[in-house]
Amino acid sequence: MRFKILSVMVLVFILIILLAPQLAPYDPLAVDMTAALEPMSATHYFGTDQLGRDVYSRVLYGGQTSLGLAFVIVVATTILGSVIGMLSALIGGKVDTFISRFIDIWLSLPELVVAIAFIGVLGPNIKTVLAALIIVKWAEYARIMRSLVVTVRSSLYIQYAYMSGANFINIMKDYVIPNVISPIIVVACQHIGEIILTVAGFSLIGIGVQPPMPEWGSILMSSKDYMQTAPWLLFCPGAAIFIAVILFNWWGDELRDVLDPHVN
Amino acid sequence: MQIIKNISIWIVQIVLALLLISFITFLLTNISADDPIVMKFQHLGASLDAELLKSLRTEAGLDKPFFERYMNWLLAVLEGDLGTSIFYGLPVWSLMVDALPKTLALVFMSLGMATIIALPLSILSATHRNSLVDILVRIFSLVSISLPSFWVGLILLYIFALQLQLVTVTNTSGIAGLVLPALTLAIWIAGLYIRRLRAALLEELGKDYVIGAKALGLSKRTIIYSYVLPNVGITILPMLGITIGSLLGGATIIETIFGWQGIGYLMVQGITTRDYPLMQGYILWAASMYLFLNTFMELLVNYLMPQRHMKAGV
Repeated sequence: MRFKILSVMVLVFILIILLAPQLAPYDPLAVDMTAALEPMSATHYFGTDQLGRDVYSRVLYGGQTSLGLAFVIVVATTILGSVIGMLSALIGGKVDTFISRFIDIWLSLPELVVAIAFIGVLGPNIKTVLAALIIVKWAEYARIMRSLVVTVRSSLYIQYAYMSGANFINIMKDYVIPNVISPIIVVACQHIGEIILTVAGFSLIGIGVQPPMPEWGSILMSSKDYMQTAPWLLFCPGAAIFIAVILFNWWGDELRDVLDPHVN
Repeated sequence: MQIIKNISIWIVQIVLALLLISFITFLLTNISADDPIVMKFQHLGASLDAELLKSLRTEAGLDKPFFERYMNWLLAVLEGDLGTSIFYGLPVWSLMVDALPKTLALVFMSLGMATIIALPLSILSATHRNSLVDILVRIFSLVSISLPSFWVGLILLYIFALQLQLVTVTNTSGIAGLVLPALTLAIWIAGLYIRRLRAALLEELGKDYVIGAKALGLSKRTIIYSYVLPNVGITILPMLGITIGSLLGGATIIETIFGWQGIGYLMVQGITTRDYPLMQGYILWAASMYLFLNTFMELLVNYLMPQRHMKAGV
Protein backbone atom coordinates (compact mmCIF):
# COMPACT_ATOMS: atom_id res chain seq x y z
CA MET A 1 0.00 0.00 0.00
CA ARG A 2 2.70 2.43 1.08
CA PHE A 3 4.66 1.42 -2.00
CA LYS A 4 1.70 2.21 -4.27
CA ILE A 5 1.11 5.62 -2.71
CA LEU A 6 4.80 6.48 -3.02
CA SER A 7 4.90 5.25 -6.62
CA VAL A 8 2.00 7.55 -7.48
CA MET A 9 3.76 10.46 -5.74
CA VAL A 10 6.98 9.78 -7.63
CA LEU A 11 5.06 9.62 -10.93
CA VAL A 12 3.21 12.87 -10.21
CA PHE A 13 6.53 14.53 -9.35
CA ILE A 14 8.14 13.32 -12.59
CA LEU A 15 5.04 14.44 -14.55
CA ILE A 16 5.24 17.96 -13.07
CA ILE A 17 8.88 18.20 -14.12
CA LEU A 18 8.12 16.82 -17.60
CA LEU A 19 5.35 19.39 -18.02
CA ALA A 20 7.70 22.27 -17.11
CA PRO A 21 7.27 24.01 -20.49
CA GLN A 22 3.47 24.02 -19.98
CA LEU A 23 3.53 24.86 -16.27
CA ALA A 24 6.27 27.50 -16.17
CA PRO A 25 4.79 31.00 -16.41
CA TYR A 26 8.06 32.56 -17.64
CA ASP A 27 11.08 31.76 -19.79
CA PRO A 28 13.66 30.41 -17.26
CA LEU A 29 16.45 32.35 -18.97
CA ALA A 30 14.60 35.65 -19.54
CA VAL A 31 16.47 38.44 -17.76
CA ASP A 32 14.36 41.36 -16.49
CA MET A 33 16.42 43.77 -14.40
CA THR A 34 13.34 45.84 -13.51
CA ALA A 35 11.96 42.82 -11.63
CA ALA A 36 15.21 41.77 -9.86
CA LEU A 37 15.00 40.17 -6.40
CA GLU A 38 11.24 40.41 -6.03
CA PRO A 39 9.80 38.39 -3.14
CA MET A 40 7.28 35.56 -3.52
CA SER A 41 3.98 36.83 -4.92
CA ALA A 42 1.06 35.86 -7.14
CA THR A 43 3.01 36.89 -10.26
CA HIS A 44 6.27 35.23 -9.18
CA TYR A 45 5.38 32.23 -6.98
CA PHE A 46 8.97 31.67 -5.81
CA GLY A 47 10.11 35.29 -6.31
CA THR A 48 12.82 36.39 -8.76
CA ASP A 49 16.62 36.21 -8.68
CA GLN A 50 19.25 38.94 -8.99
CA LEU A 51 18.70 39.09 -12.77
CA GLY A 52 14.93 39.20 -12.48
CA ARG A 53 14.48 35.64 -13.69
CA ASP A 54 11.41 33.83 -12.36
CA VAL A 55 12.64 31.31 -9.75
CA TYR A 56 9.53 29.09 -10.05
CA SER A 57 10.10 28.64 -13.78
CA ARG A 58 13.80 28.05 -13.17
CA VAL A 59 13.10 25.40 -10.54
CA LEU A 60 10.71 23.58 -12.93
CA TYR A 61 13.18 23.66 -15.82
CA GLY A 62 16.04 22.96 -13.44
CA GLY A 63 14.22 19.77 -12.49
CA GLN A 64 14.43 18.64 -16.10
CA THR A 65 18.20 19.04 -16.02
CA SER A 66 18.65 17.50 -12.55
CA LEU A 67 16.25 14.57 -12.92
CA GLY A 68 17.24 14.05 -16.55
CA LEU A 69 20.93 13.85 -15.67
CA ALA A 70 20.23 11.53 -12.73
CA PHE A 71 18.18 9.16 -14.90
CA VAL A 72 20.70 9.11 -17.73
CA ILE A 73 23.56 8.45 -15.29
CA VAL A 74 21.69 5.70 -13.43
CA VAL A 75 20.49 3.97 -16.62
CA ALA A 76 23.91 4.19 -18.29
CA THR A 77 25.80 2.87 -15.25
CA THR A 78 23.28 0.07 -14.75
CA ILE A 79 23.58 -1.10 -18.36
CA LEU A 80 27.36 -0.68 -18.57
CA GLY A 81 28.02 -2.31 -15.18
CA SER A 82 25.54 -5.14 -15.78
CA VAL A 83 26.95 -6.01 -19.18
CA ILE A 84 30.53 -6.07 -17.88
CA GLY A 85 29.56 -8.07 -14.79
CA MET A 86 27.47 -10.54 -16.75
CA LEU A 87 30.14 -11.06 -19.42
CA SER A 88 32.77 -11.56 -16.76
CA ALA A 89 30.69 -14.24 -15.05
CA LEU A 90 29.73 -15.97 -18.31
CA ILE A 91 33.22 -16.02 -19.84
CA GLY A 92 34.82 -17.14 -16.59
CA GLY A 93 38.42 -18.30 -16.31
CA LYS A 94 41.29 -15.84 -16.53
CA VAL A 95 39.14 -13.09 -18.05
CA ASP A 96 36.79 -13.29 -15.07
CA THR A 97 39.69 -13.17 -12.59
CA PHE A 98 41.18 -10.17 -14.35
CA ILE A 99 37.88 -8.25 -14.54
CA SER A 100 37.07 -9.08 -10.90
CA ARG A 101 40.48 -7.84 -9.72
CA PHE A 102 40.05 -4.68 -11.76
CA ILE A 103 36.60 -4.11 -10.24
CA ASP A 104 38.06 -4.64 -6.74
CA ILE A 105 40.75 -2.06 -7.33
CA TRP A 106 38.32 0.37 -8.97
CA LEU A 107 35.94 0.08 -6.02
CA SER A 108 38.78 0.72 -3.58
CA LEU A 109 39.20 4.22 -5.05
CA PRO A 110 37.23 7.08 -3.50
CA GLU A 111 34.26 7.78 -5.79
CA LEU A 112 33.97 11.50 -5.23
CA VAL A 113 37.69 12.13 -5.59
CA VAL A 114 37.84 10.27 -8.90
CA ALA A 115 34.73 12.08 -10.15
CA ILE A 116 36.14 15.47 -9.13
CA ALA A 117 39.46 14.53 -10.75
CA PHE A 118 37.78 13.78 -14.08
CA ILE A 119 35.68 16.92 -13.97
CA GLY A 120 38.63 19.05 -12.90
CA VAL A 121 41.02 17.89 -15.55
CA LEU A 122 38.57 17.74 -18.46
CA GLY A 123 36.92 21.03 -17.53
CA PRO A 124 33.62 21.40 -15.66
CA ASN A 125 30.52 21.09 -17.84
CA ILE A 126 27.44 18.91 -18.19
CA LYS A 127 29.19 16.29 -20.37
CA THR A 128 32.16 15.78 -18.07
CA VAL A 129 29.88 15.51 -15.02
CA LEU A 130 27.89 12.84 -16.84
CA ALA A 131 31.01 10.93 -17.90
CA ALA A 132 32.69 11.25 -14.51
CA LEU A 133 29.74 9.83 -12.57
CA ILE A 134 29.27 6.94 -15.01
CA ILE A 135 32.97 6.14 -14.76
CA VAL A 136 32.94 6.00 -10.95
CA LYS A 137 29.63 4.16 -10.57
CA TRP A 138 29.74 1.29 -13.07
CA ALA A 139 31.98 -1.00 -11.00
CA GLU A 140 29.49 -1.34 -8.18
CA TYR A 141 26.85 -2.66 -10.61
CA ALA A 142 29.39 -4.90 -12.31
CA ARG A 143 30.32 -6.53 -9.01
CA ILE A 144 26.69 -7.10 -8.00
CA MET A 145 25.74 -8.42 -11.45
CA ARG A 146 28.74 -10.73 -11.59
CA SER A 147 27.99 -12.36 -8.26
CA LEU A 148 24.27 -12.65 -9.09
CA VAL A 149 24.98 -14.39 -12.39
CA VAL A 150 27.55 -16.70 -10.79
CA THR A 151 25.05 -17.71 -8.10
CA VAL A 152 22.16 -18.24 -10.48
CA ARG A 153 24.27 -20.16 -12.98
CA SER A 154 25.52 -22.65 -10.45
CA SER A 155 22.03 -23.37 -9.11
CA LEU A 156 20.39 -26.69 -9.76
CA TYR A 157 17.48 -25.49 -11.87
CA ILE A 158 19.89 -24.15 -14.48
CA GLN A 159 21.64 -27.53 -14.63
CA TYR A 160 18.25 -29.24 -15.02
CA ALA A 161 17.35 -26.82 -17.79
CA TYR A 162 20.60 -27.70 -19.61
CA MET A 163 19.89 -31.40 -19.17
CA SER A 164 16.37 -31.03 -20.55
CA GLY A 165 17.89 -29.55 -23.70
CA ALA A 166 17.45 -25.80 -23.30
CA ASN A 167 20.08 -23.83 -25.20
CA PHE A 168 22.22 -20.96 -23.89
CA ILE A 169 19.96 -18.16 -25.18
CA ASN A 170 16.83 -19.78 -23.71
CA ILE A 171 18.53 -20.23 -20.37
CA MET A 172 19.70 -16.63 -20.29
CA LYS A 173 16.32 -15.29 -21.37
CA ASP A 174 14.06 -17.51 -19.25
CA TYR A 175 16.10 -18.18 -16.11
CA VAL A 176 19.16 -16.02 -15.63
CA ILE A 177 17.97 -12.54 -16.61
CA PRO A 178 14.61 -12.67 -14.77
CA ASN A 179 16.45 -13.70 -11.62
CA VAL A 180 19.14 -11.04 -11.70
CA ILE A 181 17.14 -8.08 -12.98
CA SER A 182 15.18 -7.09 -9.90
CA PRO A 183 18.09 -6.80 -7.44
CA ILE A 184 19.91 -4.60 -9.97
CA ILE A 185 16.84 -2.40 -10.48
CA VAL A 186 16.54 -1.97 -6.71
CA VAL A 187 20.15 -0.81 -6.44
CA ALA A 188 19.68 1.55 -9.40
CA CYS A 189 16.55 3.14 -7.94
CA GLN A 190 18.21 3.62 -4.57
CA HIS A 191 20.98 5.55 -6.32
CA ILE A 192 18.75 8.17 -8.01
CA GLY A 193 18.54 10.42 -4.94
CA GLU A 194 22.27 10.20 -4.31
CA ILE A 195 23.06 11.17 -7.92
CA ILE A 196 20.69 14.17 -7.81
CA LEU A 197 22.51 15.37 -4.67
CA THR A 198 25.97 14.84 -6.14
CA VAL A 199 25.22 16.68 -9.39
CA ALA A 200 23.52 19.56 -7.56
CA GLY A 201 26.43 19.82 -5.12
CA PHE A 202 28.95 19.99 -7.96
CA SER A 203 26.91 22.63 -9.79
CA LEU A 204 26.54 24.70 -6.62
CA ILE A 205 30.30 25.11 -6.21
CA GLY A 206 30.78 25.74 -9.92
CA ILE A 207 32.19 22.38 -11.05
CA GLY A 208 28.97 20.93 -12.49
CA VAL A 209 26.28 22.27 -14.78
CA GLN A 210 27.30 25.80 -15.74
CA PRO A 211 25.06 28.89 -15.59
CA PRO A 212 22.84 30.17 -17.12
CA MET A 213 21.45 26.65 -17.67
CA PRO A 214 18.94 26.06 -14.89
CA GLU A 215 19.82 23.13 -12.62
CA TRP A 216 18.78 22.76 -8.97
CA GLY A 217 22.29 23.20 -7.64
CA SER A 218 23.28 26.03 -9.99
CA ILE A 219 20.06 27.92 -9.10
CA LEU A 220 21.21 27.86 -5.47
CA MET A 221 24.62 29.26 -6.46
CA SER A 222 23.77 32.94 -6.04
CA SER A 223 21.57 32.42 -2.97
CA LYS A 224 24.46 32.89 -0.51
CA ASP A 225 25.22 36.38 -1.82
CA TYR A 226 21.60 37.53 -1.55
CA MET A 227 20.68 35.62 1.59
CA GLN A 228 20.00 38.78 3.59
CA THR A 229 17.70 40.43 1.07
CA ALA A 230 16.28 37.46 -0.85
CA PRO A 231 16.01 34.31 1.32
CA TRP A 232 13.46 32.79 -1.12
CA LEU A 233 16.39 32.15 -3.47
CA LEU A 234 17.67 29.78 -0.81
CA PHE A 235 14.46 28.10 0.36
CA CYS A 236 12.58 27.26 -2.85
CA PRO A 237 15.23 25.49 -4.98
CA GLY A 238 16.61 23.69 -1.91
CA ALA A 239 13.15 22.46 -0.98
CA ALA A 240 12.70 21.12 -4.52
CA ILE A 241 15.91 19.08 -4.25
CA PHE A 242 14.96 17.83 -0.80
CA ILE A 243 11.47 16.72 -1.89
CA ALA A 244 12.85 14.95 -4.96
CA VAL A 245 15.58 13.14 -3.03
CA ILE A 246 13.41 12.07 -0.09
CA LEU A 247 10.73 10.81 -2.51
CA PHE A 248 13.21 8.73 -4.49
CA ASN A 249 15.05 7.44 -1.40
CA TRP A 250 11.86 6.41 0.35
CA TRP A 251 10.41 4.89 -2.79
CA GLY A 252 13.68 3.00 -3.36
CA ASP A 253 13.52 1.53 0.16
CA GLU A 254 9.91 0.43 -0.34
CA LEU A 255 10.75 -0.99 -3.77
CA ARG A 256 13.48 -3.09 -2.19
CA ASP A 257 11.04 -4.46 0.36
CA VAL A 258 8.54 -5.30 -2.39
CA LEU A 259 10.97 -6.89 -4.88
CA ASP A 260 13.43 -8.41 -2.41
CA PRO A 261 11.39 -9.37 0.64
CA HIS A 262 13.98 -11.82 1.97
CA VAL A 263 16.75 -9.22 2.22
CA ASN A 264 15.22 -7.59 5.27
CA MET B 1 51.11 -16.35 9.06
CA GLN B 2 47.57 -15.58 7.95
CA ILE B 3 47.82 -11.97 9.04
CA ILE B 4 51.12 -11.45 7.18
CA LYS B 5 49.58 -12.89 4.04
CA ASN B 6 46.58 -10.57 4.42
CA ILE B 7 48.75 -7.52 4.93
CA SER B 8 50.85 -8.29 1.87
CA ILE B 9 47.76 -8.79 -0.32
CA TRP B 10 46.45 -5.44 0.84
CA ILE B 11 49.75 -3.68 0.28
CA VAL B 12 49.87 -4.99 -3.29
CA GLN B 13 46.29 -3.86 -3.83
CA ILE B 14 46.97 -0.36 -2.44
CA VAL B 15 50.08 0.04 -4.57
CA LEU B 16 48.19 -1.09 -7.70
CA ALA B 17 45.29 1.26 -6.96
CA LEU B 18 47.64 4.20 -6.36
CA LEU B 19 49.55 3.44 -9.56
CA LEU B 20 46.26 3.27 -11.45
CA ILE B 21 45.03 6.57 -10.10
CA SER B 22 48.38 8.31 -10.62
CA PHE B 23 48.45 7.04 -14.18
CA ILE B 24 44.89 8.16 -14.91
CA THR B 25 45.56 11.59 -13.40
CA PHE B 26 48.70 12.00 -15.44
CA LEU B 27 47.03 10.74 -18.61
CA LEU B 28 44.06 13.10 -18.22
CA THR B 29 46.29 16.08 -17.50
CA ASN B 30 48.23 15.28 -20.64
CA ILE B 31 45.34 14.82 -23.05
CA SER B 32 43.67 18.05 -21.94
CA ALA B 33 44.02 20.90 -24.39
CA ASP B 34 45.87 23.30 -22.07
CA ASP B 35 49.65 23.47 -22.24
CA PRO B 36 51.14 24.02 -18.78
CA ILE B 37 53.76 26.49 -20.04
CA VAL B 38 51.16 28.53 -21.96
CA MET B 39 48.93 28.45 -18.85
CA LYS B 40 51.73 29.71 -16.64
CA PHE B 41 52.53 32.62 -18.96
CA GLN B 42 48.85 33.47 -19.31
CA HIS B 43 48.59 33.57 -15.55
CA LEU B 44 51.62 35.84 -15.27
CA GLY B 45 50.23 38.00 -18.04
CA ALA B 46 53.44 37.64 -20.06
CA SER B 47 53.57 37.14 -23.80
CA LEU B 48 55.07 34.02 -25.24
CA ASP B 49 56.39 33.42 -28.77
CA ALA B 50 56.73 30.06 -30.47
CA GLU B 51 60.53 30.00 -30.16
CA LEU B 52 60.51 30.59 -26.40
CA LEU B 53 57.68 28.10 -25.90
CA LYS B 54 59.67 25.44 -27.73
CA SER B 55 62.80 25.95 -25.66
CA LEU B 56 60.84 26.08 -22.40
CA ARG B 57 59.03 22.88 -23.31
CA THR B 58 62.35 21.15 -23.97
CA GLU B 59 63.70 22.46 -20.69
CA ALA B 60 60.68 21.14 -18.77
CA GLY B 61 60.95 17.80 -20.58
CA LEU B 62 57.50 18.17 -22.16
CA ASP B 63 58.73 17.04 -25.58
CA LYS B 64 59.77 13.62 -24.28
CA PRO B 65 57.61 10.53 -24.90
CA PHE B 66 54.57 10.03 -22.64
CA PHE B 67 55.90 7.12 -20.59
CA GLU B 68 59.21 8.80 -19.92
CA ARG B 69 57.40 11.88 -18.66
CA TYR B 70 55.13 9.73 -16.52
CA MET B 71 58.11 7.94 -14.96
CA ASN B 72 59.88 11.24 -14.29
CA TRP B 73 56.77 12.68 -12.71
CA LEU B 74 56.24 9.54 -10.60
CA LEU B 75 59.85 9.57 -9.38
CA ALA B 76 59.53 13.24 -8.42
CA VAL B 77 56.29 12.49 -6.53
CA LEU B 78 57.99 9.64 -4.65
CA GLU B 79 60.65 12.12 -3.58
CA GLY B 80 57.90 14.39 -2.24
CA ASP B 81 57.96 16.86 -5.12
CA LEU B 82 54.38 17.47 -6.22
CA GLY B 83 55.32 20.36 -8.48
CA THR B 84 54.50 24.06 -8.25
CA SER B 85 50.99 25.46 -8.29
CA ILE B 86 50.41 27.60 -11.39
CA PHE B 87 47.89 29.87 -9.69
CA TYR B 88 49.56 30.36 -6.30
CA GLY B 89 53.16 30.07 -7.52
CA LEU B 90 54.01 28.00 -4.43
CA PRO B 91 54.95 24.32 -4.07
CA VAL B 92 51.79 22.19 -4.05
CA TRP B 93 53.18 20.30 -1.06
CA SER B 94 53.34 23.42 1.14
CA LEU B 95 49.86 24.57 0.08
CA MET B 96 48.46 21.21 1.12
CA VAL B 97 50.34 21.19 4.42
CA ASP B 98 48.82 24.61 5.18
CA ALA B 99 45.30 23.44 4.35
CA LEU B 100 45.52 20.13 6.20
CA PRO B 101 44.97 21.36 9.80
CA LYS B 102 41.70 22.96 8.74
CA THR B 103 40.46 19.76 7.14
CA LEU B 104 41.59 17.71 10.17
CA ALA B 105 39.77 20.06 12.56
CA LEU B 106 36.62 19.74 10.46
CA VAL B 107 36.87 15.93 10.37
CA PHE B 108 37.25 15.55 14.13
CA MET B 109 34.66 18.16 15.03
CA SER B 110 32.01 16.74 12.69
CA LEU B 111 32.67 13.13 13.73
CA GLY B 112 32.44 14.14 17.39
CA MET B 113 29.15 15.93 16.81
CA ALA B 114 27.80 13.05 14.74
CA THR B 115 28.64 10.57 17.52
CA ILE B 116 26.84 12.72 20.08
CA ILE B 117 23.75 12.75 17.86
CA ALA B 118 23.81 9.21 16.45
CA LEU B 119 24.85 7.00 19.37
CA PRO B 120 22.10 7.81 21.90
CA LEU B 121 19.43 8.01 19.20
CA SER B 122 20.24 4.62 17.70
CA ILE B 123 20.43 2.94 21.12
CA LEU B 124 17.04 4.44 22.04
CA SER B 125 15.64 3.41 18.68
CA ALA B 126 16.89 -0.19 18.83
CA THR B 127 15.90 -0.79 22.47
CA HIS B 128 12.42 0.65 21.94
CA ARG B 129 11.68 -0.96 18.61
CA ASN B 130 8.52 0.27 16.83
CA SER B 131 7.79 2.75 19.61
CA LEU B 132 7.12 6.42 18.89
CA VAL B 133 10.80 7.22 19.65
CA ASP B 134 11.90 4.60 17.14
CA ILE B 135 9.63 6.00 14.43
CA LEU B 136 10.82 9.56 15.09
CA VAL B 137 14.47 8.50 14.99
CA ARG B 138 13.94 6.65 11.72
CA ILE B 139 12.22 9.68 10.20
CA PHE B 140 15.13 11.86 11.35
CA SER B 141 17.53 9.43 9.71
CA LEU B 142 15.66 9.33 6.37
CA VAL B 143 15.27 13.12 6.35
CA SER B 144 18.89 13.82 7.18
CA ILE B 145 20.27 11.58 4.44
CA SER B 146 17.84 13.08 1.93
CA LEU B 147 18.58 16.68 2.89
CA PRO B 148 21.13 18.23 0.56
CA SER B 149 24.00 18.96 2.98
CA PHE B 150 24.91 22.10 1.03
CA TRP B 151 21.34 23.36 1.57
CA VAL B 152 21.52 22.57 5.30
CA GLY B 153 24.78 24.52 5.40
CA LEU B 154 23.25 27.55 3.71
CA ILE B 155 20.19 27.42 5.99
CA LEU B 156 22.41 27.20 9.08
CA LEU B 157 24.29 30.24 7.79
CA TYR B 158 20.97 32.02 7.29
CA ILE B 159 19.76 31.20 10.81
CA PHE B 160 22.95 31.63 12.85
CA ALA B 161 24.72 34.33 10.87
CA LEU B 162 21.86 36.49 9.59
CA GLN B 163 18.91 35.97 11.94
CA LEU B 164 20.65 35.32 15.27
CA GLN B 165 23.92 37.04 14.30
CA LEU B 166 25.95 34.60 16.42
CA VAL B 167 28.66 34.24 13.78
CA THR B 168 29.54 36.26 10.72
CA VAL B 169 29.06 34.86 7.24
CA THR B 170 32.65 35.62 6.34
CA ASN B 171 34.20 34.20 9.50
CA THR B 172 36.36 31.35 8.28
CA SER B 173 38.77 30.79 11.14
CA GLY B 174 38.73 29.56 14.71
CA ILE B 175 36.04 27.67 16.55
CA ALA B 176 33.22 30.03 15.50
CA GLY B 177 33.94 29.41 11.83
CA LEU B 178 34.25 25.68 12.40
CA VAL B 179 30.98 25.00 14.22
CA LEU B 180 28.58 25.51 11.31
CA PRO B 181 30.39 23.43 8.65
CA ALA B 182 31.00 20.71 11.25
CA LEU B 183 27.34 20.69 12.29
CA THR B 184 26.27 20.52 8.64
CA LEU B 185 28.42 17.45 8.05
CA ALA B 186 27.44 15.95 11.42
CA ILE B 187 23.71 16.00 10.60
CA TRP B 188 24.33 14.07 7.39
CA ILE B 189 26.82 11.60 8.93
CA ALA B 190 24.50 11.02 11.90
CA GLY B 191 21.67 10.09 9.52
CA LEU B 192 23.83 7.50 7.75
CA TYR B 193 25.13 5.99 10.99
CA ILE B 194 21.77 5.82 12.78
CA ARG B 195 20.49 3.60 9.97
CA ARG B 196 23.48 1.32 10.17
CA LEU B 197 23.82 1.31 13.98
CA ARG B 198 20.14 0.60 14.53
CA ALA B 199 20.23 -2.40 12.19
CA ALA B 200 23.46 -3.69 13.77
CA LEU B 201 22.12 -3.23 17.31
CA LEU B 202 18.88 -5.04 16.49
CA GLU B 203 20.82 -7.95 15.01
CA GLU B 204 23.14 -8.13 17.99
CA LEU B 205 20.28 -7.89 20.52
CA GLY B 206 18.64 -10.91 18.89
CA LYS B 207 21.68 -13.14 19.49
CA ASP B 208 21.73 -16.04 21.92
CA TYR B 209 24.29 -14.56 24.28
CA VAL B 210 21.98 -11.63 24.99
CA ILE B 211 19.20 -14.02 26.02
CA GLY B 212 21.74 -15.88 28.13
CA ALA B 213 22.87 -12.67 29.80
CA LYS B 214 19.24 -11.78 30.51
CA ALA B 215 18.65 -15.20 32.00
CA LEU B 216 21.68 -14.69 34.25
CA GLY B 217 19.94 -11.58 35.55
CA LEU B 218 22.30 -8.96 34.16
CA SER B 219 20.76 -5.52 33.86
CA LYS B 220 19.75 -4.18 30.48
CA ARG B 221 22.32 -1.40 30.89
CA THR B 222 25.18 -3.85 31.53
CA ILE B 223 24.18 -6.00 28.58
CA ILE B 224 24.06 -3.07 26.18
CA TYR B 225 27.14 -1.15 27.33
CA SER B 226 29.45 -4.06 28.20
CA TYR B 227 28.54 -6.63 25.56
CA VAL B 228 26.35 -5.38 22.73
CA LEU B 229 27.96 -2.00 22.01
CA PRO B 230 31.59 -3.24 21.80
CA ASN B 231 30.50 -5.92 19.32
CA VAL B 232 28.48 -3.48 17.25
CA GLY B 233 31.39 -1.03 17.39
CA ILE B 234 33.62 -3.52 15.59
CA THR B 235 31.12 -4.08 12.78
CA ILE B 236 30.88 -0.32 12.26
CA LEU B 237 34.66 0.16 11.85
CA PRO B 238 34.86 -0.45 8.07
CA MET B 239 32.15 2.16 7.47
CA LEU B 240 34.02 4.55 9.75
CA GLY B 241 37.13 3.98 7.63
CA ILE B 242 35.21 5.03 4.51
CA THR B 243 33.79 8.13 6.23
CA ILE B 244 37.08 9.36 7.69
CA GLY B 245 38.92 8.48 4.49
CA SER B 246 36.49 10.51 2.39
CA LEU B 247 36.48 13.45 4.79
CA LEU B 248 40.29 13.61 4.85
CA GLY B 249 40.08 14.24 1.12
CA GLY B 250 38.17 17.33 2.13
CA ALA B 251 34.45 17.84 2.32
CA THR B 252 34.77 19.66 -0.99
CA ILE B 253 31.29 21.14 -1.23
CA ILE B 254 30.85 22.12 2.44
CA GLU B 255 34.34 23.59 2.70
CA THR B 256 33.69 25.71 -0.39
CA ILE B 257 30.28 26.98 0.77
CA PHE B 258 31.66 28.07 4.13
CA GLY B 259 34.95 29.30 2.68
CA TRP B 260 36.72 26.95 5.12
CA GLN B 261 40.13 26.75 3.45
CA GLY B 262 40.86 23.05 3.81
CA ILE B 263 42.05 20.50 1.28
CA GLY B 264 38.71 20.30 -0.55
CA TYR B 265 38.50 24.08 -0.90
CA LEU B 266 42.00 24.05 -2.36
CA MET B 267 40.95 21.50 -5.00
CA VAL B 268 37.96 23.58 -6.08
CA GLN B 269 40.29 26.58 -6.46
CA GLY B 270 42.56 24.34 -8.51
CA ILE B 271 39.70 23.28 -10.79
CA THR B 272 38.35 26.78 -11.39
CA THR B 273 41.84 28.16 -12.14
CA ARG B 274 42.81 25.05 -14.20
CA ASP B 275 45.80 24.51 -11.93
CA TYR B 276 46.91 21.00 -12.95
CA PRO B 277 49.79 20.41 -10.50
CA LEU B 278 47.47 21.37 -7.64
CA MET B 279 44.78 18.99 -8.89
CA GLN B 280 47.29 16.14 -9.25
CA GLY B 281 48.56 16.70 -5.73
CA TYR B 282 45.06 16.73 -4.31
CA ILE B 283 44.00 13.57 -6.14
CA LEU B 284 47.05 11.64 -4.94
CA TRP B 285 46.57 12.81 -1.36
CA ALA B 286 42.83 12.12 -1.22
CA ALA B 287 43.09 8.72 -2.88
CA SER B 288 45.97 7.61 -0.63
CA MET B 289 44.20 8.69 2.55
CA TYR B 290 41.06 6.85 1.52
CA LEU B 291 42.94 3.68 0.63
CA PHE B 292 45.10 3.67 3.76
CA LEU B 293 42.20 4.28 6.13
CA ASN B 294 40.06 1.59 4.57
CA THR B 295 42.88 -0.92 4.70
CA PHE B 296 43.75 0.04 8.26
CA MET B 297 40.15 -0.49 9.38
CA GLU B 298 39.94 -3.85 7.58
CA LEU B 299 43.11 -5.00 9.31
CA LEU B 300 41.86 -3.71 12.65
CA VAL B 301 38.58 -5.59 12.28
CA ASN B 302 40.37 -8.79 11.35
CA TYR B 303 42.65 -8.38 14.35
CA LEU B 304 39.75 -7.76 16.72
CA MET B 305 37.52 -10.43 15.19
CA PRO B 306 39.72 -13.32 14.04
CA GLN B 307 36.65 -15.46 13.26
CA ARG B 308 35.70 -13.07 10.46
CA HIS B 309 38.57 -13.76 8.11
CA MET B 310 38.52 -17.44 8.92
CA LYS B 311 34.93 -17.49 7.72
CA ALA B 312 35.76 -15.47 4.64
CA GLY B 313 38.69 -17.79 3.96
CA VAL B 314 40.99 -15.00 2.80
